Amino acid sequence: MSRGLTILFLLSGFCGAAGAQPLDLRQNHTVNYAIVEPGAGVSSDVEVRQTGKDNTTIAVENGAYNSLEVDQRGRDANYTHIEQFGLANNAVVIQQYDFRNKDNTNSGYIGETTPYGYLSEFNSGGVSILALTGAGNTLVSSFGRNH
Amino acid sequence: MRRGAAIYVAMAALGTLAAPQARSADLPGAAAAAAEKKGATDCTVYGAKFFALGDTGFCAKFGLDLMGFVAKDFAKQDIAMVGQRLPSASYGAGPPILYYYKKDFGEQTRNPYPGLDAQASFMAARQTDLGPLVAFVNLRLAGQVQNYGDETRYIANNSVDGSIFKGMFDQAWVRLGGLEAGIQPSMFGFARWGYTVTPGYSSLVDTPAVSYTYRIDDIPAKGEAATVSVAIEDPDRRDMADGALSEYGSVRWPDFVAQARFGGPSFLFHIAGAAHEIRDRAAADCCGASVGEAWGGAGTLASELHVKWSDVFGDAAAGMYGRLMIQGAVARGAIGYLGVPFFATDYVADADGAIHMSQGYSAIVSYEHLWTPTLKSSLTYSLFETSQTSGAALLSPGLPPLIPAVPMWFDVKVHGSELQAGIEDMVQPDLMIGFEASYTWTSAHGAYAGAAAAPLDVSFPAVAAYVRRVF
Repeated sequence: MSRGLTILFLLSGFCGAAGAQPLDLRQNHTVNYAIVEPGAGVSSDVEVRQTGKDNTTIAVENGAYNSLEVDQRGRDANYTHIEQFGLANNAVVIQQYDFRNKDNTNSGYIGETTPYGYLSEFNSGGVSILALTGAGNTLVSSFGRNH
Repeated sequence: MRRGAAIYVAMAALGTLAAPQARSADLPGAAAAAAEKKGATDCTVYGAKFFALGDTGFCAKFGLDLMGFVAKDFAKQDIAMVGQRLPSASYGAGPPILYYYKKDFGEQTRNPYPGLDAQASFMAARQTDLGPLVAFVNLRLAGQVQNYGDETRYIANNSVDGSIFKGMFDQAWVRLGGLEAGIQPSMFGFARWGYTVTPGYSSLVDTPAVSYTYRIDDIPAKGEAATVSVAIEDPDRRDMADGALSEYGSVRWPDFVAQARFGGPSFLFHIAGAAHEIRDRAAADCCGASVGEAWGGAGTLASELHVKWSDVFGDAAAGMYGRLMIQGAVARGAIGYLGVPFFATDYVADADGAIHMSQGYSAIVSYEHLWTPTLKSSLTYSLFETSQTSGAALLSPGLPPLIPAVPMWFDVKVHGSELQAGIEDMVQPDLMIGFEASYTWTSAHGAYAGAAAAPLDVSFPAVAAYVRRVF
């Protein structure tokens, strides 16, 4: 009875928290880093899917309602570190050997604002680094040659 | 001053070249000595256009230099840098990271852009018991129309710290004997940054400073002289910080610069070094670290040679003259001394406050050929490299010994080169028209926690045409 209530509470919590589609983050480079740390008080619902050789996901969620799903398929290593400090927290981690991956070597950088904070994604060669940061921990600069 | 591709920046050099006597360390500087012999009010020894300033004993000269230009930048893409502080389960926030990527500039560079550079100068000089007393002011307004990339335009100008007024004082100094104070050309830079109007990769900065030059004229060889100079200079003019990886706090020391020159009628050698204080507050602001401190430095070697080609090839080259300049500079923690585009900050501050000084070099070779008394052409090749690194910081502490920690660090290098060619014709006395073309190559590559990222390469041409009138 007690367990059933807890599950019901969590589910209702997520429905009210995000109210939006989960943020779906995908990486398929040789080495993938996903660092998810929305700002304090920001409830979030994030899904990370990584395929490659070495996959790392580090998440610290401080919202009232936190949901994280990590699906890692690495040929050498899968690493996930999750800290959740909400009223309702949900984390699912799936880790398995990557037996069908084809690396993506597209290069580029994207910085954009999402409902859960600022998302920066750097893909270059075999490296992918993705960071989701909140208002309190987003510090980004841009520089280069003038045109 | 951060160096960009903006052509207006180059016009500062013209001010310096237009008034070579304004540089206390230039060699040979016979004017002052001659004036001393002939009498302070004989203004002809200072050069043409000098006139007596009443009966004050001063000789003075006004100068006006106007240049209008139109340029086209053909870059569709260029390498751009992004600095960021990554969140960390170990630090909360802080490990620095530097990305590079190809950024689209097609909209910004779609149209040719016009620009104007106007300079007005005044010099007054007289002899005193303590040596020549010289005052010099060069006011400069420069700007060019730029495109934000969304059809809106703005005028980029030569403001300093956002102030047009501060930027307008290109030079303003007073010299007594060898002591000079005010906004003056840095003792680090050579006489010019290539003979092309658009700048090569070389540092030429006017900065608030106090300098002293000791001149040695009694060298046995005829016409040769040497100078040794020391200066304290404004450190802010050369700061290369982005606000994320690095942020200068209040510095305690000026930049210390030393220079030595040795020259004669047909040559000039130059060696200079600088020390630049780093006091970082980026790590303190982001991560609660203590203020990081370090000293960066830079050094340069340069030379210029003048050739009268008829001395080499005989009458077939009558009337042809040439001059060649070669310069190289290295820097560590003081990238602003290289005169290169802003692809690297002076340093990277780790989350714990540790300072990792960036390193780099720049080099330039430039030749100018005078075909006739009114027609000249120039060719300049310059190159640079910068290297930025961070220390290893833990994104996650792991759970040793079962689960390893997750460190992150970066090592990013950018190198580039530029070939510039120009031709200028003096169609009337003091009226010049010129055309320049350049081609730029730049590449970047990096590694993250030891994993190699992909190299990026870009290249693009640019052209510029200008009209210059000197009064």
